[in-house]
Amino acid sequence: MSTTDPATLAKYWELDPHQHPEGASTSLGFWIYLMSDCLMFAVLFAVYGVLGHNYAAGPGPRDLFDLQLVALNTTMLLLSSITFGFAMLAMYRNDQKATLRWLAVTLFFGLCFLSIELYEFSHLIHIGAGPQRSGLLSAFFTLVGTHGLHVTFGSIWLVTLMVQITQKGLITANRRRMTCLSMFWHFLDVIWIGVFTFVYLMGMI
Amino acid sequence: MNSFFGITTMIISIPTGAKIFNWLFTMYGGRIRFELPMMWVIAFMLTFVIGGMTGVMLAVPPADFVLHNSLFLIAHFHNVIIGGVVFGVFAAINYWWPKAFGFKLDRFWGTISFWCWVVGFWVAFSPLYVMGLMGVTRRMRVFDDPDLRIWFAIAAFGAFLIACGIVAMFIQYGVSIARRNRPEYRDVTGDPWLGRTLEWATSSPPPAYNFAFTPVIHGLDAWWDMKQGGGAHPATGFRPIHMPKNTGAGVILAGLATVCGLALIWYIWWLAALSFAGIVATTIAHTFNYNRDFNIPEAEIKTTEDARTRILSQGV
Repeated sequence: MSTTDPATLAKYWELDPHQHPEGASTSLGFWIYLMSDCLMFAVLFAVYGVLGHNYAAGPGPRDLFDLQLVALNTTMLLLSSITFGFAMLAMYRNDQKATLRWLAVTLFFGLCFLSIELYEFSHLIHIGAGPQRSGLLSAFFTLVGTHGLHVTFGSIWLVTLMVQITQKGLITANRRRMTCLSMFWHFLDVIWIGVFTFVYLMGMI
Repeated sequence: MNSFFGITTMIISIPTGAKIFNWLFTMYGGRIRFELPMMWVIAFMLTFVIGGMTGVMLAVPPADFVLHNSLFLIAHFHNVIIGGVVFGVFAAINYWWPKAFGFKLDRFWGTISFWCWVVGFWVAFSPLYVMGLMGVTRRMRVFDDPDLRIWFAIAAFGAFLIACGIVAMFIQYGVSIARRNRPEYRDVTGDPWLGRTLEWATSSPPPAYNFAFTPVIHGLDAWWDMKQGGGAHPATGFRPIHMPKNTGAGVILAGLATVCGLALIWYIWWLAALSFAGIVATTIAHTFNYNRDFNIPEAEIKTTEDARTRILSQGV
């Protein structure tokens, strides 16, 4: 129990100092979160795949969806992803003002997307095609609504981060948060491409 | 659908069976000591294997049609959950209690609890298998057939034995806590079972930083390997250790989420909205806390480690 010669100690214990920089494991954790979220969307897509043809003698996709509105909606979300990219570029240039400006533009497009989606939902409910009308509509509202909720929380996060960048500047912690939010935002875009293709475009065939 | 459920159940049971062989071959050739954790582990394996086999029976659709919703299903389910989860948890509690609190659990009351639990389990649930095969369904308020009475009586006696096991377990905790400073309970070395894995290389309970220096691992059973090399740990050259600060955010969020879940289940919409807003607000408030880490100073580590070195040198 008392062997203390340096060679034995060095064999079993890491004697040299080493650093774990703060937040070093954040990106791995955030990827795991995104992939678990991806699994949830996979399940909702599968639900839509199973229930999507159960109209209960009610309206089908072709009666419900307005492709022009959805195209506008998709444009809003895609533009918000581009502008988030510009915000990241501004951040890499250490240009705090431009970062905040591009984040504000991103928020604007995100809110446009949400408004159009809410308009679509209220329109559907108004014509009697609410989530309780048929299997198709239950699955539709669950899948698209879950995506919309993600965009809502992403927007709340975006506002929070804008306040924090204003307060603290582009410090390491805030840069890490920007990277995470950017991954989250682009992830939602990817999911929307799936929704757009699988729900709206294929529904029109 | 029948074949789907049959196949998925089989897919669960095959790797589980492989795990049982993992554990058996881990024990094979070893010197097994019948301490409380080992007793619970063996009870777990024996009980869980039977529960798993009746599960495979339920995976066969023709059998499942007959056994579905019967007491056979109840016996199977409790066989895997009590045998597989509860006994495993009891093994873990008895094994890691000294690591967490610095003293071992009482063996006498632990043994009484063990035998009451295991025997009681089998007395309680074997009759349910028998009755299930006779076609008795579950969740009935009244059973008209007086022939069933003896089976229910046996099962009730088993439940009584399990209750004795539960009481004995609480006595075990109470007795151990009351006697925690006696030398036969106290875990001075941090290695009360002569363990092989790294958690036993630090003190019981471990300091906030776990290890003053990160252990270097050369293979399986790292602590056993270290003990072969003399089991020495550095007594000098400490450096400050970078640690995250404590935060109540996780517990507060869990509490609010519990309230929110309850409110959603019972349709208390105002409470659900309020607690959900609380969840969002707490999360945002937490992100405004940038001061999240600190260093444990060298002097504090030295004091802690010196105390441990002193205790270890007394013990040997």
